[in-house]
Amino acid sequence: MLSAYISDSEADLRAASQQAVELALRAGAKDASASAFSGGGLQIGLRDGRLETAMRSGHRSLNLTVFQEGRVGAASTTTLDPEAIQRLVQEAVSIMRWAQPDADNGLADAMDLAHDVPHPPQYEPVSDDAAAMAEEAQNMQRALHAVEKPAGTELRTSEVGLSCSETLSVMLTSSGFCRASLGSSQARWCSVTAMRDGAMARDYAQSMARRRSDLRGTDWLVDRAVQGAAGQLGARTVPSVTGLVLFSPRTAQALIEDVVGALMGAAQYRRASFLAGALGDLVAADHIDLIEDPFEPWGLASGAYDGEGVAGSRRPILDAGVVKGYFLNSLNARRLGMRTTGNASGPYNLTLSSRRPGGDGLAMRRHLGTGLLVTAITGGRTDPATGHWSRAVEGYWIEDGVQQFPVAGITLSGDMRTMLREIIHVGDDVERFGAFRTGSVLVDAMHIGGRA
Amino acid sequence: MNNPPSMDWARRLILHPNQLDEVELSRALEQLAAGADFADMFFESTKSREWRLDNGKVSAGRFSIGQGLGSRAVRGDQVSFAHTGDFRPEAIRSAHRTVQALTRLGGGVAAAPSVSLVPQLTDHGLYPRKDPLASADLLPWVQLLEKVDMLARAAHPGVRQVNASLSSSHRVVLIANTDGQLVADVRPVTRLFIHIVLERAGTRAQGSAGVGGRYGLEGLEDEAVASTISQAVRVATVNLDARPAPGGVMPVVLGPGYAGVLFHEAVGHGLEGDHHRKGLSAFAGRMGERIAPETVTVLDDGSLPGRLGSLGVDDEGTPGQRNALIENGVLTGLMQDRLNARLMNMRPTGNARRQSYAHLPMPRMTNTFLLAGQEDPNDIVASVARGIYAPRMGGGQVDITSGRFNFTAVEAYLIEDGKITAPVNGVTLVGVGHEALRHIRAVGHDWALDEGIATCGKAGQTVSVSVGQPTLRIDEMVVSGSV
Repeated sequence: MLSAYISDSEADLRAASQQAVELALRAGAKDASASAFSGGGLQIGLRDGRLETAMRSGHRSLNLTVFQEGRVGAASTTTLDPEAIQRLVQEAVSIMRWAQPDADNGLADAMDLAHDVPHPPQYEPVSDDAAAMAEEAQNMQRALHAVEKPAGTELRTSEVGLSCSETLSVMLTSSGFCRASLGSSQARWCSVTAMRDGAMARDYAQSMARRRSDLRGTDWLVDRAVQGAAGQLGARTVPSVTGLVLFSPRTAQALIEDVVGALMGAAQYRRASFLAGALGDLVAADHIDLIEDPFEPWGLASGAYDGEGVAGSRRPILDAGVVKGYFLNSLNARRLGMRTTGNASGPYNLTLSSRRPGGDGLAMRRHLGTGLLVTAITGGRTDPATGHWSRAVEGYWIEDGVQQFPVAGITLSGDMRTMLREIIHVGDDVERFGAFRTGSVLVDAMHIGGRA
Repeated sequence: MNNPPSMDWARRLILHPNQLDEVELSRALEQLAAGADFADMFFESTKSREWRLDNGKVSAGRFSIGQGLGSRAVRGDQVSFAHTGDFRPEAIRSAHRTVQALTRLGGGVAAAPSVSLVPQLTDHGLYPRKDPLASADLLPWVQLLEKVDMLARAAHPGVRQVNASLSSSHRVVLIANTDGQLVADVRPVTRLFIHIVLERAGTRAQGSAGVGGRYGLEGLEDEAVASTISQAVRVATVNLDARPAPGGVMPVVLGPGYAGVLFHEAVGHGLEGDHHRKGLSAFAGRMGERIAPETVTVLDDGSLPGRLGSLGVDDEGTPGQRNALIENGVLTGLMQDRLNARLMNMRPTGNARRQSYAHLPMPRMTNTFLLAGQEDPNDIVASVARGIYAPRMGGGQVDITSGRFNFTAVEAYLIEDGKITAPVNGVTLVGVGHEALRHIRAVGHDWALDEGIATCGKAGQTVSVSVGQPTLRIDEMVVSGSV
């Protein structure tokens, strides 16, 4: 066995995938691809210093996609016993037979397969057992109690959590692709409820990484959660106004998410995107770059190949504000008359940056001058077709670059096409959240909805 | 009846193929409960099928098998848990050894409970105990989606894209616990989602709508399909014409049905037992207080026939039931699972739910709604000089600690001088639970539940729910806008 958390060997997963593909071909499929996963992990949660939850997880799954002259069928199972694999094949083939053909369906083109693109490092064996993790959680809890709280504020409840997991995956196609990959993940989080004069506010901080040494330190987590919760106590609304808004690195992610959604192959193909057909167009301020990197060592969204066996590439998505690429799988690439970009499993690591450096967090507040610093997006949505952007937000009111008071109960709206063009600066206060990296982002022409 | 039908399903799909029976499960529970004061096992066998309409073709389908066991031991407020996809007795023993070790970590010392399971009859009749995927004939699926494509394209000359998904699932659950309870439930779900892209003079907008319930494919009636299509087309048309909304504080009229997400967010989440036990809810300690006008009664009812939030038994084996959250304006009830009910010295209310065997149960909502009032919905709109009319929502969120909630309209209009006038861009509405409740001015008589599309997320777990309300006027809400 590979590790305590992965209960199947690579050979087991390869055999199950191979069996599914062979049975599918025998049942009439012309092509097939299968992927199998096995993994597990531990999660420990402490509340107010007491162990609250201890969870051991274990997952496995097998996915099969079958093709026959433009017809496609798919099936998946979380159990790998022989009857389940039989049923998997039978159902996938049955769906394939009933499906209406679309000539663009099929395996990735053979020339695109990443048979030997090297794996970026993604796996560090999880060395801790439950007792060690519980001990680490207690240490986090002690740090939380030791942290300096703003005067008059008490911590009502506090929760700390740790999790670790490992996953082994195998992918195999009837066109001769067969590779395995291993990944690990570590997470730590801390959530705090602060109380002062009968008012309560809650905030959290978390850190996720593929290996332990990339996790944020306990002090950072604890400090961020406590300051965030205490800082929001006594939050109030502000008058409705239109103007500059500074998105913290955490909230600026929402802008990257919307750009990704708008440049996905399916949205482009349906032209249900506020950036429909924008390849080659200037859509953002001309100092803005968005870079995709599949190969970043230990990146949370790194990988040697996607769910079709195709590698991505390090490339600009936005280059000086100009759209340089979409996120495509084979099907949508064919529909658009393009070549797959290896994004069948979604975007890889993305970094938003500016050629007009905005400086650190303090410098960014000075650029804002007087206005809203957004530190949390609590709800709302973007209309993917029109780009109409509308959110409920929280944050702080800034005057002459200096923080005045916490703000909540307000709305923020804009239009993504305008917002992208109105990015004034991206800060050097870069943080990584999942697959996205960005500093704070200063945007003009935003509408705050607050007190009349 | 020794073998109620739900239990038959569980025996056939879960117990018999793995040589499991009451005796074996009793022994497994005794092992699981070592050092704990309560333990339960949650078996699940789920099969689902989904077909997609894309680009005028019913060209993609997927079938999924999800099966597993989640085993939990509870000691005071401490929970240890493990899950496995393997139902064989040796795999279960191994998972239970893991839970035992985790329980010891929390200080639990081995005691040997004695368990004797008695199968329990669940003849709830809330939804059929059938397998919506039993037929190998896939033609009805393809035909229904073809019809959706045809009807949608005929509904408006500007329709450029019709995407739809049609899915059904058959979920059999079996719950066994150290109280000796052994109970099964068979839960069908069928859902249809339609997404339309409309174009006029080079401008595109989209609209979507859905319908669903605890039934098989045959439960999707022609009328419901047609009405779902026309809703999606209408939302897309409205978004084509939408102008910027006014921003700031103003009166808001919410339409009947899905807009009831307001009560799910502003009231429901704040009345989940776990938040109260931990002192995290803005409503904590306010039971018995008047928090809304007398016209306001909010229920959570897991015993409505056919609804997606309905539960013959919840995921701990407690029957789904009707619980009053706010009665005539007074805060009256909490929603509980076993763990929180026991620690708060209350009774479980049939609200224990989990996304799957791999997740822990928590107090969750089922079908949550505001009861009908007396007023004519037209009069309610006519009572507003300047405000927003929002008949359809896209979802919402709440911070239970501050009580601040928000939800977003996907279809909204201006009200000017008592009349619904121009469509406006989807607006986000913000409020604080107890304040919004106080600002409820008028409650209509046109009560409805949502069409069967609502889901609820909590602590990373998603479950199906229903929400509902009649037309409603709230005097003050913060509206996102730019004018």
